[in-house]
Amino acid sequence: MTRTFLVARSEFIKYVTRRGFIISLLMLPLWIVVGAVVPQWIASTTPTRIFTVVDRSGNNFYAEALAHAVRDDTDRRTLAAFAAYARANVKPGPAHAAKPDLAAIIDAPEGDAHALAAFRAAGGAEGLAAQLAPFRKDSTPQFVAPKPRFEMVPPDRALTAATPAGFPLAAAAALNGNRPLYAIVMIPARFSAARGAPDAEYWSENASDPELQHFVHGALTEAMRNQVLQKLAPGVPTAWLMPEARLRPLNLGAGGSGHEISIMDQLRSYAPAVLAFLLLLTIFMNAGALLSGVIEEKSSRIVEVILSCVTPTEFMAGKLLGAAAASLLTLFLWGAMLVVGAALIVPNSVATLGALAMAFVTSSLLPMLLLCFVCGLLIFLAIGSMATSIQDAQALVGPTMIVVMAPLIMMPALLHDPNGPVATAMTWVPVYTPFFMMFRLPWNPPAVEVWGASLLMVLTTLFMVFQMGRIFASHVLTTERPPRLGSLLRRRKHAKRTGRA
Amino acid sequence: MTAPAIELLHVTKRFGGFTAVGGLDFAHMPGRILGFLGPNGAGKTTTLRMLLGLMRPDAGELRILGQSPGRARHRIGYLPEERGLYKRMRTNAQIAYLAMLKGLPRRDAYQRAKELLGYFDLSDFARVRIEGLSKGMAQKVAFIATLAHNPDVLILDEPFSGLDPINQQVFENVIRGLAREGKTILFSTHTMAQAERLCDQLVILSRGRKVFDGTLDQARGLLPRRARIGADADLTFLGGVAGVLRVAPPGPGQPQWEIQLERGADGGALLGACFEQGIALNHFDLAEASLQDVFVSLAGEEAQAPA
Repeated sequence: MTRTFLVARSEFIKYVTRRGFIISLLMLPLWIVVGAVVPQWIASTTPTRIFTVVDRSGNNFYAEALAHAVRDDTDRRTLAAFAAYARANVKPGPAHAAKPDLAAIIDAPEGDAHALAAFRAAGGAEGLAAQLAPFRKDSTPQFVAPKPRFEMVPPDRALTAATPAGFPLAAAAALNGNRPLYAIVMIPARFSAARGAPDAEYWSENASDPELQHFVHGALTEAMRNQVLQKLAPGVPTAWLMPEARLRPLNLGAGGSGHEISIMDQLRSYAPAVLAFLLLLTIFMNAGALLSGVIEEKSSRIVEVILSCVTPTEFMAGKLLGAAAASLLTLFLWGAMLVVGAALIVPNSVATLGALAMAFVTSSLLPMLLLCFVCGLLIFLAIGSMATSIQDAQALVGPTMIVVMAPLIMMPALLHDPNGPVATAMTWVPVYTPFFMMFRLPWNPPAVEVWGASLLMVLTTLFMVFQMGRIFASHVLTTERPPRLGSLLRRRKHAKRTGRA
Repeated sequence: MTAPAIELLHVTKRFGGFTAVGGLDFAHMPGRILGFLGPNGAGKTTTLRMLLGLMRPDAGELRILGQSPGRARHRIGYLPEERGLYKRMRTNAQIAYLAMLKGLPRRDAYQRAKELLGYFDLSDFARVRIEGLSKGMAQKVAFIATLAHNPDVLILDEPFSGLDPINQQVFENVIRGLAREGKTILFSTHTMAQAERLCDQLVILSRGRKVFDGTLDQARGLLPRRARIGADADLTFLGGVAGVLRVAPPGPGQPQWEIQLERGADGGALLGACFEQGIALNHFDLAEASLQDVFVSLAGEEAQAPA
């Protein structure tokens, strides 16, 4: 046991003092930051799309509908941004007690029509900010409203005067003119929902960003439906004719009492999936070091020196523990970086993340994670023992990677239906059991599956430790080319005879 | 009577249909130096691996200090032919790590590493990574790592390869010193001169079989003595002198006459015969057969024999 620990400690130090370890440790947070910052940066640098509408339908109905939709879109975005600002910068307790109506606006689901109406009635962001000013935390920044996505401007005379045949030329002149114009919407005469009616036209020189096109399509569709409803029920207010359902998402707690789905609930649901993904990532990260380490030990014949001190089982177990400890340290440091990052950006989130970490440590996820580590790393350790060069190892690693990566390919399907037939079937494939069970746990799979899969996991791990240990012991001293699968199985008997004294 | 430190009894090791070592027997007494010789592929590495417990023999028995190799593991120090060191590990950590694996407590292991590095004049390199050392220094570090846990038996595979003559001399002195302290040393080598200088006992393997086991004198006794005589005259008449087996004239790479003598034959009779004939000599030397000659003779004959 002492010798296993010594090997493990040496391996661990070898891993964590590699430059690659530090680089890979920083790469994930870097990608998360890039993933979070780049879309915001793109959004902040994307200019407001300016468009104009030539409405020849007769009463300017569609142009007005589009103008109304643009106002709604801008106000909704402002409300969403203000709600995020208020959640971070307003003291929640006092604000809720003193201004429950305002607090309700901020806490409403994004896009809620009633909240939008209340927001406008309260004077928009400026009005709300003024009313919530007494509850603002110290030294908080001023709210800055986001840039509108779209702006609608009146069409110039050349466009309105253009004949249908001359419209393309007029549109081209307008789009390339001095005035910045992103698109032109032309509503033809007799444009309606009737069969055979002409189509509305969307003229733009930019085909790669269809956001405005989709927006216009949605706004015109809503206007058209509104028009039809108005004909069916004249004089009835639009809000009555096109009501919006309010849906409150609830989570069935352990005691059977429903409570609103919180960020914690969402984190609890998705954390195992993220963890499973990170687990595979860390295994892949360490697989290369594990392989090259064993190959170096074989080629420099230090393996002979080590095996003259320890048994192959002690050696393999030590290497496994060292790699697993380095992988767990990676996960821990990523978690610590997440907590520090979250604390800097959203101070309130630390308690939530702490509770999540506690829930993880005390749940059955931890043993599953460890079993998954052991199985994954064992495969690469055995490959390393069979290979005599990096090239040999790569030939074996290629197909292995495809097999090990299969769960990642299935991740979208899993998220869609965590207890569906694919996920259930894959849970019973021994090597994948820990990954799929970890993934499914928050979605309450049947108890019989949880217990059965847990038993299968333990048996699979024991089998792999035993079998990979034998492969390791019988190949770690050889300098032959890696064996074929068939010969590996045939050599089982031979390995027994050529084993250590 | 003292028991052998290393004992092999009818040890056989096969790989499939190939017999790497066949029925090998020898005993090596404590405090002595044994040279384990043989051409490439003779079965030396396989035997060393069996002695280290890295492989199990198919037949026969190996005992080290009266125990199986697995049980005696912590009393053995092993130096492989390649350096057998972790490139990125620091010198003192490398030595201490292997000593700890052999059972030395951490503090003692580092203390021992410090002492030995000082003895081998490497104190300044204690914190240097192995990859930063020269080939000779790395060989010294590997040797220190072999000694660090103060083993009773040392198994050294080509310990002098890669060393300059000065360091070879240092190693030879250390090995002799260790033997004087009572350590049992077995080393394999292709350098016959070193084996001649160091070994109390020689075991020569060829094609997995022992072809010689004895002292250097016994080995030399296997081949006739030879005399080399330099003269401008024809010396074929020396064939008639008592004890002369063969007379060979000078040839390419051999500027003198070479005369093979029976073991115990008097070399002075050759000189007397030459004087009687009034032949002026410009060179005369009389020597036992070298280990190189014995080795080539034994291993070469065996290698040329049908399998």
